[in-house]
Amino acid sequence: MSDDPRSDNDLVDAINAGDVDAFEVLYRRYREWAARLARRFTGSDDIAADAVQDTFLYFLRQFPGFELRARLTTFLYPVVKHTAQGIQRKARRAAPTNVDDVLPAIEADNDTTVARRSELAAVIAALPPTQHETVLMRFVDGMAISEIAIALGVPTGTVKSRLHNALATLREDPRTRSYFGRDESSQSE
Amino acid sequence: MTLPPRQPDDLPEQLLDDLRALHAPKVEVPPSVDEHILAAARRTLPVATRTPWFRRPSAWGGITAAAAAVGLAAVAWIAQPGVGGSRSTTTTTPRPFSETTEELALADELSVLDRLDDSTNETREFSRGASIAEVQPEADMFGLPLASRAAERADFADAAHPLDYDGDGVIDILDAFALARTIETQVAIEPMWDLNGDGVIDDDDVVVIAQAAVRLEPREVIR
Amino acid sequence: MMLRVLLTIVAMTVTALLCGAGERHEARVAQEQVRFVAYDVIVDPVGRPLGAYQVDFAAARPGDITIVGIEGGEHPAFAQPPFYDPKALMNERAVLAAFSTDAALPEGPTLVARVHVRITGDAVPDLTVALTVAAGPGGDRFETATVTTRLAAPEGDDS
Repeated sequence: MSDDPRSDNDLVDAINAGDVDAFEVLYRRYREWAARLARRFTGSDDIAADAVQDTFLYFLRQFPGFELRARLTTFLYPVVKHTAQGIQRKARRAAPTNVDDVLPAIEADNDTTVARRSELAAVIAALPPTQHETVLMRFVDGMAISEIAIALGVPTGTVKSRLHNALATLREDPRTRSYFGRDESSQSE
Repeated sequence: MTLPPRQPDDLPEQLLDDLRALHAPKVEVPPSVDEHILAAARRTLPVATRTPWFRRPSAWGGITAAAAAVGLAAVAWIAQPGVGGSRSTTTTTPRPFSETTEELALADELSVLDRLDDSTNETREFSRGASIAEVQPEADMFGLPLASRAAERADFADAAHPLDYDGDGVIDILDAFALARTIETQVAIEPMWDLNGDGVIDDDDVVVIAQAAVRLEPREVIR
Repeated sequence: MMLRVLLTIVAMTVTALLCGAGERHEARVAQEQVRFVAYDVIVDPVGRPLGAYQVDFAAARPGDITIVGIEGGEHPAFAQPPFYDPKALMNERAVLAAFSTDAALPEGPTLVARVHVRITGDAVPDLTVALTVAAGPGGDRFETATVTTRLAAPEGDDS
């Protein structure tokens, strides 16, 4: 099912024609991305699961008549984000809301990697929230600059400047400058 | 989902790997979520995309037969004494629909026609004469919960739309606002306002109404 | 003589065609220019506390703009993004609505939302913004409230 060769646009067309299997393909194609994104904003697996459910039930309600004018992740990003944050607000759980407060779990198979990733996590977490979010959209989610601009509702120039400034911080910070070849010894695992 | 191979030239490979290891952990989606979503899809998609009545090959035969029946009935009625050529002051009780095959066919087509929302091509699950509370409302943005509670709402809302909290005939932000204020006062609220069916009347139910208010399709004017 | 006249006509024709092509090319480039601007949506409750509003924001001419983002306003009561249909994104119309149960509500002209749009070409978009409803903290409708929209100040580097 997940190896279905049809494009997202083809699947959307099929769903508009009532094809339930096409919806399942699209759901399975993006559910983990949505869960990961929701967890990033909330730090909670439970909220992430709830957000995935609400997001895709919302998406389902768009049919028939849904037109995919951008990548599906561009359409779903604000839905996942607002849904996850809304669920968290309602639950009034202790988990933080701002993306820069949600520190990721650090797992690796050796101490050097753990140490390096810890330093990176600290630098990334200290970035301004807008830069933080943009960096993750670009480099973790693999979204194009134009897609990020649409999903966040900002000009592409703003996206570029956020990325530029975030990368400048990474290059200059002593904890992460080794990634850029300034201290090769610290990169060995 | 496989991440697209779009690595920017200016980011070292190891930095990308570490970023993804940190921020792209696998998050398991519980099977119950899969089941819930896919059950909703199975239930709503084939219905929502039902072929419009005028495109069905069988529809025209039914309509022709029904039209013929109605035409014959009209001729018979006009042929009655006191009806037709001269004006009559007699008040007649509307003739009830007799359930002939042809008339049932016409009623069926009309019922299908009712389900067709011209503006959005959406179909709605109600039939002629049904209480408006049986309509699956547009705010059923999360699928199943609202649908599952349609019968319960039918008991309450013969005169009002299930989302028209202030009863003014229009679903707008003031309906959500009114429900939110009521929730804040912590007075008892009728269970029909548990719009998402989670057993609690709270902000989520307010959001259901608010989302209906801002939908881009033409909003339904009830009265 | 005849040949010279013919050559002159051909040369003039070629020159005219080249000029026309150049203009068309310039026009096409201008058409494909993309700008991002933001519009502030301002509701004036005319001296009464604003508890809720609903606004219809749209381009008067189809194709003038594409909405790419919607933000909340300046006043704390309306700082969160308003409710809107996600279908509004990548379209040219949005219904924006919000309410606040806060005690402190704005009473004068208030920036309640900011709509980011993408404009293709150099046309100046003609926008319409209509107030569907506005109400006080008790849900009492305002008959005299107004809504306007204005070009927002350019967004600077937010870093």
